This record gives sequence, structure tokens and C-alpha cells, in this order.
Amino acid sequence: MCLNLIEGEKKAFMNGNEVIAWAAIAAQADIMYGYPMTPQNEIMHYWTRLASKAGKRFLQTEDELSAGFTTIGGVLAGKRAFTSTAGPGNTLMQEPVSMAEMMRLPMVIVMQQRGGPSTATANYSQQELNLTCYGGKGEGLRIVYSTATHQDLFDYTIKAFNTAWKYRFPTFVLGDGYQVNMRESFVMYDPQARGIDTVPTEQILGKQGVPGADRAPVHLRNAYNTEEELYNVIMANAEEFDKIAHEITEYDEQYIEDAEIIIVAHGVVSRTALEAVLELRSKGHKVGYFRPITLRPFPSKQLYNRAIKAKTLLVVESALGQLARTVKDAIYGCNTSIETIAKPGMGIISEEIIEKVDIIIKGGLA
Amino acid sequence: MMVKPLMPKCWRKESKPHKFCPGCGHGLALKALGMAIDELGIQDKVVFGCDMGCSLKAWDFFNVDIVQTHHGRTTPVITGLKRANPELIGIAYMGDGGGYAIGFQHLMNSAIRNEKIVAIIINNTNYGMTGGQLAPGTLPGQETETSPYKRKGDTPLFGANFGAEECPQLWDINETGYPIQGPEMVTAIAKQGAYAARGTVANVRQLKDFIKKALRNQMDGNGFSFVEVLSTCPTNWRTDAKATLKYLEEDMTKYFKVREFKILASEGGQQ
Amino acid sequence: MDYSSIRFESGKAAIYIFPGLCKGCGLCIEKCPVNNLGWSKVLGVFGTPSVEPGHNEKGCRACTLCENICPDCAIYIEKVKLKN
Repeated sequence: MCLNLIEGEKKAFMNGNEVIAWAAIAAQADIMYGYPMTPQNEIMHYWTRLASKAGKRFLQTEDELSAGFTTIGGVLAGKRAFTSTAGPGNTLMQEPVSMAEMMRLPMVIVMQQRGGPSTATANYSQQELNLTCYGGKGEGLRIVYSTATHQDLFDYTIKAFNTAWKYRFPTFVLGDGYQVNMRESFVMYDPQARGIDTVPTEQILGKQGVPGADRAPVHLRNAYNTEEELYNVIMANAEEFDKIAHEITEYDEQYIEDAEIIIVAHGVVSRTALEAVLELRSKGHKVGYFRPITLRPFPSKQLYNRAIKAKTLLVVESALGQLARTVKDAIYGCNTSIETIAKPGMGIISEEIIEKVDIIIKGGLA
Repeated sequence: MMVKPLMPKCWRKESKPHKFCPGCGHGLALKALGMAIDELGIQDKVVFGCDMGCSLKAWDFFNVDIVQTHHGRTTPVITGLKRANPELIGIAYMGDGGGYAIGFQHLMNSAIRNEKIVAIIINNTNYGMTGGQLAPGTLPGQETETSPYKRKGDTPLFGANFGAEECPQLWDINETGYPIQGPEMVTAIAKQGAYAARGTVANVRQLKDFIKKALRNQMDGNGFSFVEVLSTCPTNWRTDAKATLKYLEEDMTKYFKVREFKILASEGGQQ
Repeated sequence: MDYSSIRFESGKAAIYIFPGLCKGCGLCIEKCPVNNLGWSKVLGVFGTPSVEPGHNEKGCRACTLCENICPDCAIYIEKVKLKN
């Protein structure tokens, strides 16, 4: 018997991985494919416990290549399929994701960042931005939600399934080891009860009827013979991606109207950034906060419009310039100076940001 | 009345003549598969995954739903599909490079997990699409682009210059290893309900029977079904029809035994 | 695709050859146990010679080995009854 595990709304207190497992249940995910990789293991642990009660499926594969490609198989069968991994698993996951990107397959991937490159640490970083947004050979036609809180993890995991199936691009929920391991409270809810429609899936292969008689056979390609064939496919996909970008793009900004210095951060670091902004505002400094929630597509126009009125952007990240590069690209043509706090694989506390802002102010830049 | 060519019903007529080279064994393996699908009447249930390499050219071969995958990744795509929707009949179609080299971990783990899919490996003893390199199925004594002085071995199978004096140690069988015995390996690791056989395109009727049993095994939900197919590659072997058939029927079968290795439960197989 | 065929009568069979499908691999010629098949002046789909029966004296035994070995289904054998 299948239980309806989430009814109404309730407050919960749990770690980030458990939140994702619950969110996948709330999103009506059908099947998960996964392979052990710290720090995302508990997603599988909780999913396997919840799945058996809710009539869902799980397959533990032999590696992340297989986890990604079996997820694609699940999607082709018309199921809300997902996988989760981290770090070195992200590297392998880029192969199936590039196939999903080429063939417009709505696979959902939860990515919990750990240190890099190589095995590095199993703890935390924001060093998987480049790989998640632009990994594989291709043009990065995927959707990436960067979460900061447990509420985000719940909300955006649900949203990821709907976005993926609505727009048919591979969709990531990008968390990190800190969000995974900390516990905090959030509100768990049934999306239907809040009026969030679940985007229906579609059986892509093996539809009703005899192919060639009742219907045309479905022949899905990712290999092309000529440059022109490939060009046409990529350009059509890219055009579609650009067209829908404004519907998907999300960001958060606060204290920004009169800000002379804007702190730009994503993911868990944005919480530190907001804390610093509140502290600096209490001292009377005109400091604002901008957080891209979607890293792909990036809120370039929105950031540009703010940046052009400010004197300095301070980009803060637990990586060595991956977000900063994206920001520079987004505000190209704008003369606002860019300062950074870049600590690959390290956590960042608000005091460091305040200290840096003090230096910027004393340097006469703002 | 105009006479029609005798093609399996599920073959897609619009894509014929197919894209394989003259004398290529893929056409024969796909003929056997087509006949098996016709006889079982499962055209509307089959999902066919094709690997990169020459197998890729089967992407529009049948009037069944087909997906191109990546090199070596056909097994997991079909596994994922079957796990998500057990009503479908999944076929993973690949070459000896895709199945035994780059996709080996997927193939073997699927066998260990007894995935309810059919894996078909076309063994033409080389990487055909990329120009004829040494592959997991390359026989001792065989010349390929990456074993230009022949894969030296202890059983003279291929040509008069076998084990020639000038053969550097680099291509000695002790350096490159022996060809993979796929069905034998599957037989050793797969348990209840699995099926494993090796057929040859030299005997399409027998091959069709093997594939049919493999498909039926999946339909009955018994376990992993595996058929290796000894196939030909005249283009890269650089053989004429006579030498092609000799290599297929005499040389290859000395090393690769054509038979069923793990039989169906209904025929007395181990349960 | 060209599915037009050339009909030959040979021994115990009516043999249909489809030059639009024949790639000239020659496997059928090798397989024929009575050496009845040989190269034809009609070109196949790749511009190479297609095949034809009638290259021995006794003609076809209708064993269908050639039909079976053809990777492209370019041969169709129809068994015919002997006249006497």
C-alpha cells in the first residue's frame, strides 16, 4: 500500500539530505538512481526508507556514469527520475548530463558540492559552479538552482522537477556539504495544497501502438552526420533556452536601491553576506545584497542594472573566482569595480566580509 | 504483382538499404533480431538502445522506438528504462568495444544484479567505426591498426605470418591479454534465471532462436539475458567474401565457442 | 530506396535479385554450395556489380543459403516445382 506521506503543512527539523528526500516525495518523483558519494549519501538513505512506504523505486548503480544514464532511462520511460551526487561524481555525471542536454531530456540531479579538484575534501566548497553550469562538451544548456537554506532545498527540489519537465532541459539543485550536514527548521508542505501544479510527465519511448503502423517510431539521436545538422539542433536548443530564460531566472536582492557596495554571493555564502549587510547597514554604510538563485540562466540583466548604479561589487565565494568570472561576464560594459573574497573549499564568516568592506570604504572606493 | 524483398516485418523499409558496409554482420544480426521480434509479436513493446560505434547505425533500423546512447552506456540506459517501466522490453545493442571495454562495468554489474534486459554484443574482433583497432575480441595472431605486427599468440589462427619474428613484444598476447569470453563470464557471475549464449551471423536461424529465448526470458521476468554474436568486418579485416567467411566460421569459432551457456529455466536451467 | 527486382529462373527456384539493396559483398557467391551465383553486369546500390544466378550448369537447388546470408535482404528465393 502506498502512503501519502505529506499532508498539509508542518514544521520539520532535519538535515539537508533528508529535506531533499522528503522534497522528492512531495514532488511525486517516481524513481531514484544513485551511487554512494559523500556528502550526499543520506539522500539515498532517506529515499530508500521513504520510497518503500510511498510505492517508489530505487536502484543503486555501479558508478555515477550508470546512475546518470539509468536516470535517463527512467526519464525515457516517462517517469519523474532523479539522481544525486557530489564532487568526483559530478565529474562523471557530466557525460550523461551532456546527453540529456543534447536530447532535451528532463533529468533532475541534486549536487552537493565538496572540495575540489580531485578527491580533495568530502566537506564543503562552491567549486562545482563551473562544472555544474558548463560541464561536458557543449554550451551549458541546463538549469541550475543554487540553494541557501533548508527551505530552499525543499522548495527548489520540487521546482526542479517541474522546471525540467516543463522546459525539457536537465535541471540541477546545487547545494553543498554545509547545507547537507546542518540541521535547521523549515516548513514541509504538499505542493498541491499550495496551488503548485505538478507538471505532468510524458512517456518518451514505448508509447501505445505499433510503431510504423499506428504511429511513427520514435528514433532519438545525439549523433549527427554533418556540421549543419548539428548546428541546427544546437541553435534551436539555444534559442529555446534564451527564450525561456526570463521565466526561469531567479534572484534575491535586499538593501539595494541606494547601495554603493553590492555584495554578490550565491548558495550558503549568501546567508553570511546578508548577515554582513545587516551589520554594515546598522553602522550606516550603504551596502546591498544580491544573490543569484539560478546560476544558469544567470540573472545578468538584473545584476547589470544594479551594478551600474553602484561603485563596487564585492563577490564572495568558497571558490577561486568561479562566481566572480560569471559576474564579470554578466556586467560586461559596466565600469563598476569588482573586489573579491575567494576562499576555495573554505567557509566564510560575516566578519571577514565586514572587514573587507571596511577596507574598501577606507580605500575611498565607496 | 511486384515481389517484395524478404525482410522482417519490423524492419523499417524507408531506411533500407541500411547504413552498414558491404558484408557487415550487423545486417545479419539485426535480421535475426527482427525475425525474433516478429515471431514474438512484441514490436509495440520493444525499446532498442544502440551504442556508439558501428552499432549506432542501427538508430533508424526498425519500426520500434530507438534511442542512441553514449559509448558503453547503452546497458545503463536500458536498465534505467526497464526499472522505471517493467512493461517495456529493453534491448541494449552494442559492439565488443562498447560492451567489453568501455561499458564493461555496466554489463557485468547488470548481469550480477540480474537486470531484466537483453544485452546483445556484436563481436567483430575490432573497433570498426574508428578504423579497426585492437578490441576486446581481437584474436591472437590478428592484425589491427594498433597491433600492426599482429597480436602474437600461442594458437596460430590468422594467416601465414602468424607470430612473425619481427613481432615486437608489445603485441604479445602476454602483454595485451587474451580476448574476452563474454557469455562464459556472464554464466559464471549471473545466477537464477539468467540466459547466456553465443551465436554467429553464419547461422542466422540459430541466432534468431538464441535471441528469441533471450527476449522470452526477459518477458517472463526471469533475469539477465545475454547473446554475443560472432560477426564480420570485411572493411577493416581487409578480407574478400571467401576470407571473411573463413575467418568467421573457422578461425573465430576455434576460440569463441558457438553454443548456449546458460539455458532457460523452462529447459532445465539452474534456478 | 529501390525495391525493384530482377527475376531469374534457375534449377528448382525462381530467384529474385534486388540490385537496389545489393552492396556487392559477395557472401552469397561464397555460400552457394553449387556455385550457381556470380557477378552480374547490373550495378548494385553502391555502383559495384550485383549478383546473378546461372553460373553453373545444373542451376539452383533452392537451399536458400544465399538468401539467409545476405545482410541486406537483396535475394529472395521462390521454390518452384519441377516440370516433370
